[in-house]
Amino acid sequence: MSHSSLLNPTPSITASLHFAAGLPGFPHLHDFVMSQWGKQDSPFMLMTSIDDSDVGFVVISPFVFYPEYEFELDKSTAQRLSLLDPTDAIVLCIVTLSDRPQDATVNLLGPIVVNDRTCEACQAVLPHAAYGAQAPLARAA
Amino acid sequence: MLVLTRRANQSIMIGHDIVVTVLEVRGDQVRLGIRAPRSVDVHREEVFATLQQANKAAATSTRDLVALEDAMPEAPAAQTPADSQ
Repeated sequence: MSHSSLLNPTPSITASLHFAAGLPGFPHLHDFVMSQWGKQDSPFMLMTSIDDSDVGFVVISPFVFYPEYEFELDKSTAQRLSLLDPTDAIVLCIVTLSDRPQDATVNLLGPIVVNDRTCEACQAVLPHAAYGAQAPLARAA
Repeated sequence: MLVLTRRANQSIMIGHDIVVTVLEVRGDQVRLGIRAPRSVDVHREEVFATLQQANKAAATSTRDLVALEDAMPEAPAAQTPADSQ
């Protein structure tokens, strides 16, 4: 996977995302509004539930902190999102915040895949445990 | 819990559109084939549980986010695909 839109560290998603199947642990939340989060030019985005506006996820393009991150999207996920062209895919990963910012982690095991054309989204699960659900966000430089 | 006995190449139906087929039994491992509509997520249970826990830990009350907003790790210097060649 070496397409520019996948590697774009700051995809600009302004629309809302629709998760037909919800998210694991939150099957009842289907629609989320995206907004920028953090300081100016921050790579983080906030994904706020429309169904329950008190629930939000901080997300980031995994390639910002893990430029070597890669996976093969399984066929059924691609079909479910009607993804015909990989250039239409945007990948985001959920960040788990902590009291200490340096303890923040990112879920590389279950990336969110978005069809940029339709804003249909789902949380994929990578078949092999190459990546963890709690990868450290800030790695030793 | 319903318990059924099946052999290789035999299936069970769940509802009217989910088919689980025993493909192979070898030692203590069973390979299953699952045919389900696109709207149905199929996961290994332990992986699904991991994701559930991760998502619950990550879900943040949006009211608490403001305090954390200024304290996030800086992104490493932007690396473009061209740089990594």
